[in-house]
Amino acid sequence: MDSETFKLLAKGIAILSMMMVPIGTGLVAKSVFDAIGRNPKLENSLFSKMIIAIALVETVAIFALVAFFTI
Amino acid sequence: MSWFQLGDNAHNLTAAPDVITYIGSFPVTNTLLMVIINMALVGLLCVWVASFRIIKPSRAQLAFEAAILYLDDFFAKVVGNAKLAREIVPITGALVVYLLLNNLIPVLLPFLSAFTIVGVEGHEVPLLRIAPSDVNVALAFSFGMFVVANVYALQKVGFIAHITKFIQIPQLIQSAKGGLGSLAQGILNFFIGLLELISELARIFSLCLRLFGNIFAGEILLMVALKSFGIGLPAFVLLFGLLVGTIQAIVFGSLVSAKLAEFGQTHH
Repeated sequence: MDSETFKLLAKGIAILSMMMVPIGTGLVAKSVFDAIGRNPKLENSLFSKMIIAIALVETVAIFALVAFFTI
Repeated sequence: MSWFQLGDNAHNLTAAPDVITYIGSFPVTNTLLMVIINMALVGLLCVWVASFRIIKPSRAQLAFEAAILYLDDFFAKVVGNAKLAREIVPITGALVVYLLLNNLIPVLLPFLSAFTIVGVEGHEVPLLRIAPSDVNVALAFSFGMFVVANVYALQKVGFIAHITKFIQIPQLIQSAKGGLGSLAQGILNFFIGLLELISELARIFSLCLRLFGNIFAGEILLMVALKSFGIGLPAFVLLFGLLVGTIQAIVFGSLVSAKLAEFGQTHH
């Protein structure tokens, strides 16, 4: 096993950290939908906050992508 | 390769920006050109704003003022306190407008990478590239905001009150007067203050990498879409890149304004 192989393996393991990102996004969306279901007037207020929360959750995926491209 | 796919001589995308020329010994990259063009556009916007009339406003002026009021509202909601938001809106609003303009340009000028120039290494490189797809530009934004936040805190709250948020020695001395339990709490708060100092530095990199990663990933998606199916698909990918860039600009602005509000709070 030479260093090229190890580099490729490292790239693969670095990308594995993206596994939990869809679950996190789904949790945020779930709670937003529950809140809208209980109180439909909050829809406009919650939508922009949901977008910001999802962008913060996806930051980890972006970190993994940057690590992928710089290994 | 079929006729609707980009061939193998398409621009290969690297994380480092492509150097076009050298002025003296300073490398001029294509993202630097883009930053200068963006600054010129924002300058033109400022010249237009300076010609606003108070008595009989034109419709474009009214639309622009409505957009600025919306931005003001948005920051007031993020910060929570309208009076504090008034102080913060000039710098963070300008940042958000600049980042939005950065993301809007490759959609408004769709032949952006058709202008190529023979770069320093000999092969052709695109003349312009979206500015935050260069780590240096994103790091400049985030480090600049760090400097602005600290200068704002020093100006508003004072040097002692700002430093003792992180290095909590007076609180430690004060809690020592309260007995052993309160002293333990004070020691814990002291270490938490030191950790906050480290998290400030980590926040610079997290902001920078979030912006850079999203824009760069958008460019890679665009290149993959162009290489596989060059007719209808890149339009959707461009639109998706625009949406992602807009969201990231808003997230950047709200995080910076939240930090500015936290520093500027003269709480007692």
